[in-house]
Amino acid sequence: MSAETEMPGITFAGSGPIQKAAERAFNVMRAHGMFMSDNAPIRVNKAELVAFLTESGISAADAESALSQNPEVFAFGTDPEGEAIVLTTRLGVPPVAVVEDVTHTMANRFTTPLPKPDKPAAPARERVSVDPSWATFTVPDFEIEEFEDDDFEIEIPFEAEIEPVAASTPEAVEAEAIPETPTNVEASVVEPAEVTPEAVATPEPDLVASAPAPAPEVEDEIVEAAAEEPEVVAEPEPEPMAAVETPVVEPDAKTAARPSVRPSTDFSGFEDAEIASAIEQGLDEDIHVARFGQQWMSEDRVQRLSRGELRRIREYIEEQEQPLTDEALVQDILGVRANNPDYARMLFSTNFRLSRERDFEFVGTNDQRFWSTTSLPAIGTDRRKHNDIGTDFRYLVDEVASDIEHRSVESVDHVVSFYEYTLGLLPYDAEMQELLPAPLTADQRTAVFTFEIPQTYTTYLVELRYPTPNRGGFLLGLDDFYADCVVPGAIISISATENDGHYKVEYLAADDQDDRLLELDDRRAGRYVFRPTTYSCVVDDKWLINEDRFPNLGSDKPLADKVRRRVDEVLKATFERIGLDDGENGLLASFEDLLAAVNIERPFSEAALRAALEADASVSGDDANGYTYVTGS
Amino acid sequence: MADENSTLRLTDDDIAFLLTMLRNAISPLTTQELITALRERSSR
Repeated sequence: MSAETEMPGITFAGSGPIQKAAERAFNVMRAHGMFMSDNAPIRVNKAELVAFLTESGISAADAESALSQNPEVFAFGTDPEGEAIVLTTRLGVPPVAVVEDVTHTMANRFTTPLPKPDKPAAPARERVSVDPSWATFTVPDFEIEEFEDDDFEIEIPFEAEIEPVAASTPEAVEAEAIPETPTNVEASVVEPAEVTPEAVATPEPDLVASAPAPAPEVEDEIVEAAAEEPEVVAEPEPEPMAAVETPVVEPDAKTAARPSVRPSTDFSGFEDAEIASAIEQGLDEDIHVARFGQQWMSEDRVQRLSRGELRRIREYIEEQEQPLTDEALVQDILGVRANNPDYARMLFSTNFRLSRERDFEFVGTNDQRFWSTTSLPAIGTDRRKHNDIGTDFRYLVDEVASDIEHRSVESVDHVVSFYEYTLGLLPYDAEMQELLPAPLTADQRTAVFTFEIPQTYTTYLVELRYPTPNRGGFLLGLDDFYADCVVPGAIISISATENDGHYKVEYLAADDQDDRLLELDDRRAGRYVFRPTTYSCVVDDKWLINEDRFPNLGSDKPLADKVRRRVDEVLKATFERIGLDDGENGLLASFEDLLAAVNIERPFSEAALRAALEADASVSGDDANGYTYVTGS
Repeated sequence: MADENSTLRLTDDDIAFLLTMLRNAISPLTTQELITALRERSSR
């Protein structure tokens, strides 16, 4: 440590002896505080100091005068005992009282929180990066405040603050630049009036006085700023002045600050379906809007999937050998959990992106969005080509009205025919169309549903083939359920659930019954055989095909495909199988028997069978007396 | 009810309103939500 030993240059006041006395006194006090810091107060008893100076040959009066006439060097005080003391420092200035500043300490800051503000500060609004091509969009003329309503009935997950789509237009920039508080709006009116060339040439301080009271601070600042910058505005720069002056034309302050308000379309007289149709018309062709089913999103917010992710999704579906839902793909492949805030967006993104890929096919519904690949094997039987089955159900195209209201019924009862039982399917007839949803996408050809059988605790994937202009619709994939639980003629009930992709199927349980029922034996090169069967479900006797009812069917072969395709040939074969010889070269059969037997080869509804009987010149009769097929005709 | 023969078409303002809604939404919006928003807007 080094101490400053050099004497400070001090000029003492007073006459010569007094100056000497003062210097002597200072030297004594400085020696007293030899090891003190420069600013530390050196305290000496005044009486002792005067006595010491007196012993040095200085008069007591000079000593007192030397101390009192140099306040720049000496200060006075009292010690705790009440005796007078003289104070100075090594620098030759009176000591300054060091007071600890506790007005603002870290401890206070931590222990004394700020009062809660009345209104929390508005969070910074997220700004989406906008594609430059959007700048060509027309500036919307709508009321800004209307989007700031918190009473929205729907849950819109954003702070509904609206900004014009194209912020580059003058009005939009104006609306963004000027705060929306009324006082600021007034200030904005004052400001352009002052910066006009006329106002600049002859500054009018009266404007401050004529401003609407109470004059806000912002307004003052703006007016002052304008008044303090005459040099800047005095320069002859007409272009920027004209640009700033533009809003002055507007007489109303609010309309000057915001885009003009136009009345929106009145939707009160329209149904939701009409508005939905109008929305689709308005947004479908906009490339900036992504749509999947009944969901919409801004295209720039839709997550993109890499080639690798698409490949992994495809491989995962093929590995599982069945269609998978979007939720399974997002969670298992993309690693986004259901509790992730981005989960809904990722689901939409996956659906939207996959719908644009040729390798993937959407086979789901609105609530259960299944995805399949083009190489995935089809669900259901391989006994018959699916196109042939669709052709068999062609009569449904004519029978079912086009204005069916989907998902309008809760459940459907159905009797399983032999044809349906053999192929494990259900017809997509009018009743089933009322139960099941319409295709979610315009080009959707198939949909996969989950059919739950509560009685056996099993669930099957069932594929619906939607009808085409030439083929009827049908559902495949119930082979195992039919084989395990029911027989041809069984009554089943299909019930809807809240999920439009999930249904419950139940059959009416009954006591065990033994019968010899018709089966198609594939092991014997495809022959019909009657086998003893025990079943425990309720059946409709009109559709039951047993040996007692149709004894001639045993060991018969199914019709060749060429024959099957022709309705008249199928009718003829059916009459030959079940008809009774009437003795007049004709085969007689009741309508019920015909309906059950003809459905062995190909599906017929009652209406379709009646139409076929009427159209066939070889057939005569009616329901009451039965139908006769004249073989020689 | 509206005239049955009239076809509802959204104005540019309506479409701009929907586009702005979609731009600000962090998750997809359903058609029903858009309908509700349009109705809410027109009721003011």
